Amino acid sequence: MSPDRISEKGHAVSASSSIDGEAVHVHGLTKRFSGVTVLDGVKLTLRSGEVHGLIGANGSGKSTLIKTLSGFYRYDAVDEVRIGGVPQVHPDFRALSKRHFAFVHQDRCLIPALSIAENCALTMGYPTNAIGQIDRAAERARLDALLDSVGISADPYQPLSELGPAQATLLAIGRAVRSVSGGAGSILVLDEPTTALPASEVGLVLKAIRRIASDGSGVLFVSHRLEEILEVCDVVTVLRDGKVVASATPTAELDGNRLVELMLGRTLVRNSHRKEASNRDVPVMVARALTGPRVTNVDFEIAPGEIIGITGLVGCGKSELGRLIVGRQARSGEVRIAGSVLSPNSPHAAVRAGVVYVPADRLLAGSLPDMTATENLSLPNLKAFTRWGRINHMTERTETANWMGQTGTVPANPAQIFRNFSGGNQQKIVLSKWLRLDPRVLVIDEPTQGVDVGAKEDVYRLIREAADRGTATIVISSEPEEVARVASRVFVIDRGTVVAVLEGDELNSDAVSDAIFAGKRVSS
Amino acid sequence: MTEATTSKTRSWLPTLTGSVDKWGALAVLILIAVVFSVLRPATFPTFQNLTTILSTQAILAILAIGLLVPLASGEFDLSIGFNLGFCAMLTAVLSGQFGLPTAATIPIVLLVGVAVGLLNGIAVVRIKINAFIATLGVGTILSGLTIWVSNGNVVFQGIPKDLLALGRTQLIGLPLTVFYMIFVILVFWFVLEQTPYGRYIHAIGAGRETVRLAGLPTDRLRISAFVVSGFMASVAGVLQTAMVGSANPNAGPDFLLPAFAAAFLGATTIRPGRFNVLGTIVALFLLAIGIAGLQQLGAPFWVAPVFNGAALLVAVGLAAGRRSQAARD
Repeated sequence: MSPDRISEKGHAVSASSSIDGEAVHVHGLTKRFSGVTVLDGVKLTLRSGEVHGLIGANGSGKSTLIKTLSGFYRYDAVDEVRIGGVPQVHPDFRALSKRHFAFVHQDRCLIPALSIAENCALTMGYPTNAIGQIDRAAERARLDALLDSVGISADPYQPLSELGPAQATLLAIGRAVRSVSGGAGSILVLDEPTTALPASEVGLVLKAIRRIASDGSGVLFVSHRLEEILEVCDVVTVLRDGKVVASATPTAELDGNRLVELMLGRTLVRNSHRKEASNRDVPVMVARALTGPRVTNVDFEIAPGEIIGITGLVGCGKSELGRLIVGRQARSGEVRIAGSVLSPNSPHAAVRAGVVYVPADRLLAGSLPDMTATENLSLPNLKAFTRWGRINHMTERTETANWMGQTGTVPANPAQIFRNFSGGNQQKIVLSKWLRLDPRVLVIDEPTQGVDVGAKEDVYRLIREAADRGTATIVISSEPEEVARVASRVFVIDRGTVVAVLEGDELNSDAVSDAIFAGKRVSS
Repeated sequence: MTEATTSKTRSWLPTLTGSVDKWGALAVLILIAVVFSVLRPATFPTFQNLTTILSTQAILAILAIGLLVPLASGEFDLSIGFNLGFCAMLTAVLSGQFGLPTAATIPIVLLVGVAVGLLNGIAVVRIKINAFIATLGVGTILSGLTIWVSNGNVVFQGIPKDLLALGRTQLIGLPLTVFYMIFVILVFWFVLEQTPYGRYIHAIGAGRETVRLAGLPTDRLRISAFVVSGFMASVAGVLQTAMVGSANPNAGPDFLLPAFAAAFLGATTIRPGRFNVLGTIVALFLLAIGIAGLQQLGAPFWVAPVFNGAALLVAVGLAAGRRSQAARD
């Protein structure tokens, strides 16, 4: 199969459509981050009254495109921009998006403790009378109309927290629709509006999106969920590696398999037989029925020296699973380390049992950004450097210098402030901090997030070496290539549960991607 | 400018600004001491003046150093001034009106200080009240209790001589309180800079979640920080009564702002970016000498709070500037 053929087809389709109803047209949009092209001549045509799907695998440039349209990132080049058919000279997306685009982000920007009315006022303000007092009657009328338009039956003065997740999303959508002019060229951009919703509630949101489109707005719908894209969208644009590989292709011509092919650039391989784990050594960690926020009933075990991978889409619960294991978040279910139960909700107990954790939010939870490399490295077992109650700064610094040498951290300056290292070197320091302790279990969330290509190899090497010394390692990552490279077994998570386990011959990065998207495939 | 010259300019510039950051405040301290000595050669550069400045600042220094511990852990303790006032009054009342021996008065008062710190700590860490509000609430309660135990009067009668001697006895021309201050400086410098406890406290201020995930008892450490500042406020309270020979129900709150000013200004010097004992001492005497000198030049007495308040704003402004600079880099 050839991706080129697809884009030709895509172009042909959009070229044949009439210019009528065109809300936003962007052609040749290019964005680079430090020399790397993230968006490569992207073309996007959105029409009023149409739901337009935007999909792409992790790293395809989807988020960058949304952030460029909103003006958050400055584009590097663009050939043509038309809004409502009017060509824009030197388009400034920040200004354009204020007037024409309404965004609903994944976190919805709602405050649970405030009332529905107050949440609406956050972006819409209050109607006021002649003396500047809030006009309650006008406000009430406006709110009733808003709630009615998205199909919420609720008292506007009740706290938002009393609404279900779908209704809260609907409110955010309704609020956003009202924040733009509504005239020609206005577009509602929904960035993964359904990711945080339980499956049973997704239908409500999709219905509201259809209604908004039929009222005449154009909608750009970004989602990982292919079945939703096919259900709600009229046309789909697919991004792969920053390029449009299908432009405004009618969903009638597509199915789930075809979408996955477009996203991944190859046909879907589905492994029907999964091998159960067999004759593994005595496990060092056994987890049973692990349950917590976004995680339900996960079981696994891991042997000393083994590396397992945990992957899935953003928001699937894989990060939360890591947090449950190390006690960063309260959990139910049982974790046993070498046979004895690990008490939940206690990082202290986890560290004492030799279970250590490198979080994805490195600057917030993985490091002391404004303290030195040495102070970061020695934190978990400062006692080792202490004699007669006094820290021996000399041995502390020597130890840090040793680790910096071993891990190839540059600059190898133990006194440098952590924040001033590059991402990859920061990660090496965080890893050194824990590897020094010769941990039994290492849980590492997004090991190469914000890490440059060269340092990536070093991070993988460090993980491998730790495993060779007997550390059981759990690598949580959204990159299929990453887990396939380092892990001997990969768990794929969707909506908080394990949906596939890959190992042996069937474990490769394509198979992992397939398994991630297999859950998203429409059964046909 | 070519590549080479850029790097050349940059190589000495950070070193210079680094030294200014570290030693600038000390240089200013020496400079203003010299300036006032030249302007008032008869009264300023005298042993008498030095003794006065040291004696009047010793109690404030003890209070400010105690305050460093919660500040380093990332929390405010606004109760310290009221706590000092209450403990000073309690010392006077217990020893003067109830006739308790000094050996009983002092442990009781110090225990009260610890209890106040514990209350602050529990309110902030366990009940999760914002430290600003929690310690202001506790402090306000203490100001009420101070008036209750004193009936709103200055208490001076019957304070035993041995208690007064603890503060006033002179050694090489300086009251003992000055030596207590030096002892406190040494102990806290050691604890905050050289021990794991001090490192943990700084680390909590720099990244609490990281410290928790490192398996350290974050909650207990945070509570202990308030206990330390509460205890030091009570030490300062006992010494205040011992030095002055009386307890004024309104005296405590006057210590609050100068202590914060010294701590924040101190965090911009010696070890810039970190609350540190030596920086605090330099800052405190910089402010004290500045105020004393201005007053000798004829400035009115209200210049002290104006000077302290301005110093606090300048200090916090400098620190904020440094942070946003760091964020841009």
